[in-house]
Amino acid sequence: MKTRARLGNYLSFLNKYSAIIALLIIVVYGTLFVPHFMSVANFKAILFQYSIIGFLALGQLLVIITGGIDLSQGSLLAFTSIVAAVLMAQIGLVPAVIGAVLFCSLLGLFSGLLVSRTKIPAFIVTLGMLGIGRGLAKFVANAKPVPIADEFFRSMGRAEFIGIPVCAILWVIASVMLYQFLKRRRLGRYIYAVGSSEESARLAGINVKKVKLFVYTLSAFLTSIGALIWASRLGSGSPIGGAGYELESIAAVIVGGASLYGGTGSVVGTMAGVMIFGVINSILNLSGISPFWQGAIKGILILSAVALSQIQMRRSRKA
Amino acid sequence: MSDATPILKLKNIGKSFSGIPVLAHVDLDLYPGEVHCLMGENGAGKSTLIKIISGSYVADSGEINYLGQTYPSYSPRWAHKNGINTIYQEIDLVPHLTVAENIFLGNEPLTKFKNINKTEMNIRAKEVFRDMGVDMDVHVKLQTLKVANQQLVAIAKALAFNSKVMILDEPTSVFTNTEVELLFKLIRKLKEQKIALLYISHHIEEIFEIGDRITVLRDGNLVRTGLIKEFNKDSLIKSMVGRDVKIERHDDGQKRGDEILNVTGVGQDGVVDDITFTLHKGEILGIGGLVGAGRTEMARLVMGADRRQRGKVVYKGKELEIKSPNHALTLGIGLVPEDRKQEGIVPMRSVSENMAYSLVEKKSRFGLVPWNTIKKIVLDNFTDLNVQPQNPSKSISLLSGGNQQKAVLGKMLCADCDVLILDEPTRGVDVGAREEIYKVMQDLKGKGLAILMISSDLIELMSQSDRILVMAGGRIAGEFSSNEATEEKILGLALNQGGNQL
Repeated sequence: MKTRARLGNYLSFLNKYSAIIALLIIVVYGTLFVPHFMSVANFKAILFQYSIIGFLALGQLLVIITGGIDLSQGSLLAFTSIVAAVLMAQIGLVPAVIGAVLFCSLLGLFSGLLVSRTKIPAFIVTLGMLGIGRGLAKFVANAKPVPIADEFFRSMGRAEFIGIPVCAILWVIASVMLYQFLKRRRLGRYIYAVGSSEESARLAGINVKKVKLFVYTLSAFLTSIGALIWASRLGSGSPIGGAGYELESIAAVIVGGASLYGGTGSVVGTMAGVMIFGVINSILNLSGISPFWQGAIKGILILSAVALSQIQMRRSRKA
Repeated sequence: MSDATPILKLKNIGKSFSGIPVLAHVDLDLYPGEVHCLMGENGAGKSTLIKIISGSYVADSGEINYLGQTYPSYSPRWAHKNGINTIYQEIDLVPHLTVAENIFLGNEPLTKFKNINKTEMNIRAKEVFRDMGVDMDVHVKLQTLKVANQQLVAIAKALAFNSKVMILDEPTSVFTNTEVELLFKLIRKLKEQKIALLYISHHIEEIFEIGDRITVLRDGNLVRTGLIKEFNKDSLIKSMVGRDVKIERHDDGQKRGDEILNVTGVGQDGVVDDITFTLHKGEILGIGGLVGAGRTEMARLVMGADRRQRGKVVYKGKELEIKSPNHALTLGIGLVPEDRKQEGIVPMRSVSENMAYSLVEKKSRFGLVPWNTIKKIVLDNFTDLNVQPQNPSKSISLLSGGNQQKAVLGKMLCADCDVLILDEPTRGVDVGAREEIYKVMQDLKGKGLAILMISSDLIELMSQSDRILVMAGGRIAGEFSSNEATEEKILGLALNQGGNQL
């Protein structure tokens, strides 16, 4: 029994860190073969761009651990940017930011209510919310971008602290908090329990509805933070922005070792997953590969990551 | 028994499902420190009774007295909180959490910042296992453990929260002999701690080794409760069957035709082994045995749904490798599965479409499906079967269980099978439809088909089969001709063999 357990631990160790290992390999490849890849400026650029997806991915991670999925993130990002832009012109920076985060979180809460209290699958609920968020954003903005005048807000998206993008620092702080939350808090462990075996969790006295409500709300909350960074960098709110971002965040979470069947997934893996996409994107651009190819290459990456993890799973089950 | 007052007292419990009584007037006392064995054939009402005790079901009538208080019913959560724990065969634990996390799930010890106190949790979990006398790594994820060890975790979880009543539902069905010994040692320890155990098992030897008292159920009724020494194997089996019905037998032995299927030494590790039998044209070979004896698994191996590791299958005089159920069907071997809803029907689609599926592959030419030809065949068979309502375009989901089953049989008829494997052909089917299914079976037999019928219903086995094989613990335990078979003999064989050889 002992050796079985040890083998299982060994495999789960590999599984846990395979995203980091993959990231390192890709970075080494880039450093050796891609000119201009290994430079401070390039990594800053990656961080500026991908910390936005990073926030979305953290939210997506929680939802995916429960066995759900959040397709509404891209639309909610657009919605939040519009609400922030519109409110900022009228009530000032701080209330506008709070208001935008609040509105977005409310939409997430609504998704959470539907997923936890009805039998509608998360896929459908958040697909509906994808439409609602985009529709609301276009309605409020009259389908046009809304410029943001506030200089301080506009500068935040580009701000650096000792040479590191502030938005990336915020992302890392959020990740560390979430990591601690998932590891140490009851609610954090219950997220895994619900995703692993909902019925057992219910029998153990866990409030499954509350857990689900929480993850969809938090996903929307983290999306709204990503949206503010995005709007700040753009200098405006856009009703058509963020399209497809939910797919990038799902991809990052999956490449980071989570299973769409729920029960597994880690913050560290997700961070690595986000950075893998950031680094690959950069390598493809620097190598002058046509953007039409880039989508296909990322697609292949996702498929091979999932195939690998399934092979690993089958092995660990046999062992 | 060491104490005078029972900790749990069930009185006059009754329960029915959609009008059919499953339990009636059942009484049961459970004393601290006793191992009380609950016995009965498949369908005697054991599972329903333990689900009522664990709070999953609400009894229609009767009351439960627990620790001196009387309750009409309670929730599973209440039961768990108040010390009534059930260790089910399918384990109610969370695979992705660690052993310690599973034990304390929902009741984690906290630090002063309300974080989970992992150190304390792991120490306490280790203590529980130490008290149990079990060597267990509490840090590994549950899914990496063998089922037997997972079961130990479930027991540990109950013990960590002051279990007073523990229900063990066939705990040893997947255990090896050493694991059974370990469990028995543990049970004796639990007895010393004055925990009341309700023990369900099909292994008679185990009952006599570990039990203090026995309660026997039959067809939802209480037959007898008594001390273990008041029983012996024979009297126990007798009280489990003990019906007094005249069985009309169908054996007309003489007419048995040529050999069509010959199975020799078929086996798969951990599932079944040494399966050897012959099936003749125009005979119904019944397969008896308890749930978990490996009957369905045997059928799946024979017809290629699962890969066998050993043995050979000779069909119509040729040794061959059946690759898949689809391949079996093209050869003329059809399966009517046990789980009709999951495997037998395509819900929402029409009855005729469901019946046609067995033909699509066979009749198609160049990838085109000749629907008109198929329709004709389907409709011919449909009228023979007397499916109610007599409308082949009705969605099959809207039919009663019996009529669905007739349609599934019809699907196999359409395919012109020579061998039919029927897994529990009348489960969940009402009496009228059951007779009609029997009639179809006997008709088919008359036409020279060979039928392998797996059934847990002893009366059905004896009345429909020409010969009966009894399986136990993944092996064939014996064979009877229909005339020499009795309920006692079949059950005796099914129970006698421990399930632990594999």
